[in-house]
Amino acid sequence: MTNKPLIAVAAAVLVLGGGFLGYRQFGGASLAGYLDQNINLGATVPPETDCGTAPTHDRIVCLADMLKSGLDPELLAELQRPYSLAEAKLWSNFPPMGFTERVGPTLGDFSPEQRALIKAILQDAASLAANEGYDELEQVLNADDYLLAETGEAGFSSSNYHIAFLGTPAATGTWQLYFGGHHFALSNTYRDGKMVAATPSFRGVEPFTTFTMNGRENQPMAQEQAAFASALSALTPDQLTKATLEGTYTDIVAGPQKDDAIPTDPKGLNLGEVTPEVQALVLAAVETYVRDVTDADANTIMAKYKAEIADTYIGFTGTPTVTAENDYVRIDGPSVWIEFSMQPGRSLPGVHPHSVWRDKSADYGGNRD
Amino acid sequence: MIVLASLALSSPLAAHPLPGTEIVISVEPARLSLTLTVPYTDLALAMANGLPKSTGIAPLPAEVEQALATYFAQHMAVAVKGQPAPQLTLSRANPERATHEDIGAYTQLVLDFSAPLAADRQVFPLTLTYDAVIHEIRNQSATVFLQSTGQEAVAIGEIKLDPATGKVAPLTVFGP
Repeated sequence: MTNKPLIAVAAAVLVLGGGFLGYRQFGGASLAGYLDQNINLGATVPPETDCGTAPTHDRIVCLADMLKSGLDPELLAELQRPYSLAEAKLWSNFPPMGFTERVGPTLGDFSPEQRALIKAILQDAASLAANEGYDELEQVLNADDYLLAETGEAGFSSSNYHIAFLGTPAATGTWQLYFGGHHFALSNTYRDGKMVAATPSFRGVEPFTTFTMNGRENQPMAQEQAAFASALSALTPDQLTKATLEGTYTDIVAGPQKDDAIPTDPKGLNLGEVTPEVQALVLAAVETYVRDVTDADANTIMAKYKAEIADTYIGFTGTPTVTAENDYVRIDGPSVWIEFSMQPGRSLPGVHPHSVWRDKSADYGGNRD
Repeated sequence: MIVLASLALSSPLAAHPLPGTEIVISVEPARLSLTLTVPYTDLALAMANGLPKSTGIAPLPAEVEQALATYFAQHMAVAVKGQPAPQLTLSRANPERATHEDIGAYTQLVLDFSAPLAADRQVFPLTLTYDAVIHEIRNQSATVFLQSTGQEAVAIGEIKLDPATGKVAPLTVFGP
């Protein structure tokens, strides 16, 4: 961590937009003191409970009930909300100073014991594979703590990530686990005890290079970039030409509040024209997104995407190494839509990625306006 | 540009790189004016070699202003009541520094175009055909505002790539 001027500002918690307590300005103590209060999810130990140990929907419901039972009424009302597609759509890549409409309390609004339950819920809702699922989430949050340490800019912090239950977690009915903040959106929709969607799913990180924060090395999206580069490097020159999209993409197309932006006419290289080996490399790139969810759910989703591979396209602009500013790659299938965009650094030198995984039929659990 | 600022704050932001273009159409008794605010580096990328890749806020050389006039003549046109309006003339192209709450500081280019109109000429329906920047940067868009004399500017539409057709459709305004 580099030395930064200590910032002392009066204690303040902003009430912003549609959020609950909003994001925190540095309060009372110095920036260093504030960092000492870093929530550090990685160091948080999930509690032992009577909810069982297998990462099932029943266990998530049990943990959610435990969390809710210990909350004061105001915090509970913000966490447990009626199911609302409109609120499900309030996700963003922006930090809280750029997007103030997220719903639910932030991690900083909970006690350490309550955050331990939240960590258990997030772990059960995601995979436990290294650099994917929960581990990816933890590293993206660490990146925000790193940005705060490096820039001193209020708004960056792992404490500013929102969680909400849209609908009541239960064995029957529809609900969504909503979790998100800067560079992260998790949207797991459950219906009658089963996960029916894990999208829209946004991931981004700055810095993109390896950084040390909260006691660990972090590079949560290197696997996605490497998988895309590997798939593109396996294409023949003719296939690369076919895969090259017209124009330039400085960002993803189907980002937040752009639910209708996916082109209806796929562009790029039809994967029905490539060898099984290349198809496997593209599917490996897809898996860096789908494997963010539990194995059983990921297997179901991947089976669908594999069955549709011959009608799926890969397209890119920029360089096929996917390492330079404005490099862009997308996978466009009958169901799957994945974009990866390498962009200039916002707060630090270098590039950083934005990426989204959508499912054309399953986003938001298939719910439509 | 108070109106534009308030609109930006009330709408969810939707892109991490540079903001999109803003176009304000002003209809005066004998003149049609368009003021464009365009992120500089995106415009430079779209114009290829026609615009220096980076600049401060120093006035642009005459040859650059000419290149801008030529570029926008190819990517922007206005028709009034179904007939092409007189050629829009570029009268100002000023680089300015701007700040965005997420992006931070960046350079934007403010361009003023205008065309004379007969004093009694009806302008609506007015059709703006525009694909500057968007023809190259496919994720970019332009928000269009209408400014009537004595009135606040009102957002009337967004010009962007149509996901169904892959093309940029003109925007028609039927009245203030």
